[in-house]
Amino acid sequence: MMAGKLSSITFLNRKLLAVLVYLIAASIIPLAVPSIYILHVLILAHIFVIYAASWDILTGYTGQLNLGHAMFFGLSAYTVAITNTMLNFPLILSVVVGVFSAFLLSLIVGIPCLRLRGPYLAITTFSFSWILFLLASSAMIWLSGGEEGVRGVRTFVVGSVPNYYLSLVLMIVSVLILYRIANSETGLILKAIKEDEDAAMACGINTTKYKLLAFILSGVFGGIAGAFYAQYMRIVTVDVVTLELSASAITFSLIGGIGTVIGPAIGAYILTILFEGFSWLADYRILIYNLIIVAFVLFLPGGLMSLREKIKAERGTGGEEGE
Amino acid sequence: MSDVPFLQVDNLSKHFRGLKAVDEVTFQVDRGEFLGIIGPNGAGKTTLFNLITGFLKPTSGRIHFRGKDITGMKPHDRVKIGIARTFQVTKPFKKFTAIENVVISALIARKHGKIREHERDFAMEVLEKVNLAHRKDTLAENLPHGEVKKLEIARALATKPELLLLDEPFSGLTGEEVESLQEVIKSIHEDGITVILIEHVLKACMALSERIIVLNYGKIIADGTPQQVCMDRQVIEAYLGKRGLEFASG
Repeated sequence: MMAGKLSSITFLNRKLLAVLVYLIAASIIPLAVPSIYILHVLILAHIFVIYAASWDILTGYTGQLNLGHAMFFGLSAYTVAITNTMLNFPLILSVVVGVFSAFLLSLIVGIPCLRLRGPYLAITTFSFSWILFLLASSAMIWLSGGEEGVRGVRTFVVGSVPNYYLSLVLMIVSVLILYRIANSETGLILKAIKEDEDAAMACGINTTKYKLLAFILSGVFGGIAGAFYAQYMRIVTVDVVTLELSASAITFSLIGGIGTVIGPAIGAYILTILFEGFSWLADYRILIYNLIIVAFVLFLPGGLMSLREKIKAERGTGGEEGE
Repeated sequence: MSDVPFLQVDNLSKHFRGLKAVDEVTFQVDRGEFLGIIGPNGAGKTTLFNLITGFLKPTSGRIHFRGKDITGMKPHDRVKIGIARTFQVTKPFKKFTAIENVVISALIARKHGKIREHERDFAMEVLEKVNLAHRKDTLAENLPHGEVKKLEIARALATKPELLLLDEPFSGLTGEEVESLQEVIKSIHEDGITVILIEHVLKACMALSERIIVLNYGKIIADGTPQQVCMDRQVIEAYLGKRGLEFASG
């Protein structure tokens, strides 16, 4: 018992230490590396961290396969852009309305999805995002601007450095909230639903309520990421509702470790930097990107978060289970 | 104390397309009773369980629990008012440890105000009750079949039920495991929980039940003490067929 407690404390300290080191590094990067391009990549990484972590709450934790997560990101981004540029809403109001639109969408998609399981749920979420893509790319071009997008969105702060810090704070707060929820009683209940929905019901869990809660959390934080993206990029095009963006939620999480919140966040951070950093490879990036995914599925299906256990298992040490 | 029956099932039917899986079933269960439900495969036993626990909606008929009409109630609400179940095909939370499986139910029971202590302590008590305390940190997917069966019962017990429905808890167990589980179920009943047991392992069912209902083709064909039911012509016929009956009666 004592040994178990001690080692879990040292492990906690190690985790805490890693977080601290990251925070210090992240805070001094703009001072140490005054490259607008690098900061731009890191800001995108911060946004996609929120995006990936929000996907994970619904799919990784609750087991509700969402193949169209870009719909929350995209709807919120478009709503911010359109209300801000065409209706001249103050930016803060646009952001509130944008996140609210993602919340409403999570209800619109979530409520019918409560009755669906497995592939039917996957197809439905995919279809909703596809509808949104079709609206933005053709049916409602008068509103979305099509390929041209909606331009001239105002921004909270001007310049890379302020946006860097703003996105950093937003990311830390969002991930912290999602992480706290995931590791609370609620998180355990969501995981039980993922493991077996009938058994969860037999335990007395109101699965309908908790699934809807997961939908809402996922949608709202996806929407927060989209809203920040709109004000930072100052332009919103169909990129925000594409299949690629929906798929990237899955790849980020797969590489980081599905069902851990932190894993998808790390996955999003690393992959965004790699993808943007190797832009000179042009389309070969997509090839390499996909090879990485295949490699992970084959050799490390638990993602980076499972690396520690895997190494421990291969060394053959029982590790820190001692009670 | 009151005249209201504990569980009252009235003219309950469930049709799947043309098939009458449960057909106009009526029976009562008293508080503290141990009722066994037997019948050949496909007799409608599990369907009846799913109706009582709310996992299926009946085509017609009504169910009352302690005087309250629960026919349209959701499964989780029935758990809240004290009806718990296990599954014939076990459904453990595979990636959870044994104690975590039970903690889930205990957590909900605490939210419903049924337990005051910490849910982990309560879960531990329940694991001890089913003799699984030594397995508390084992992942459910690594437990042998017999222990998964016990874990299912522990998870149901942790909801603090008044009525416990056990769907073939003995299926697939070795003789030794059957005996040990029989003891566990007996002591649960002795704690004052009303039990309804579906079983194929007739020996265990006969030993535990005070009263037995026999289902065949969705209908009740016999209702009585284990001794009465064993002697019933229709029951023997249902199990052995008409010719079997001739053999049985020599």
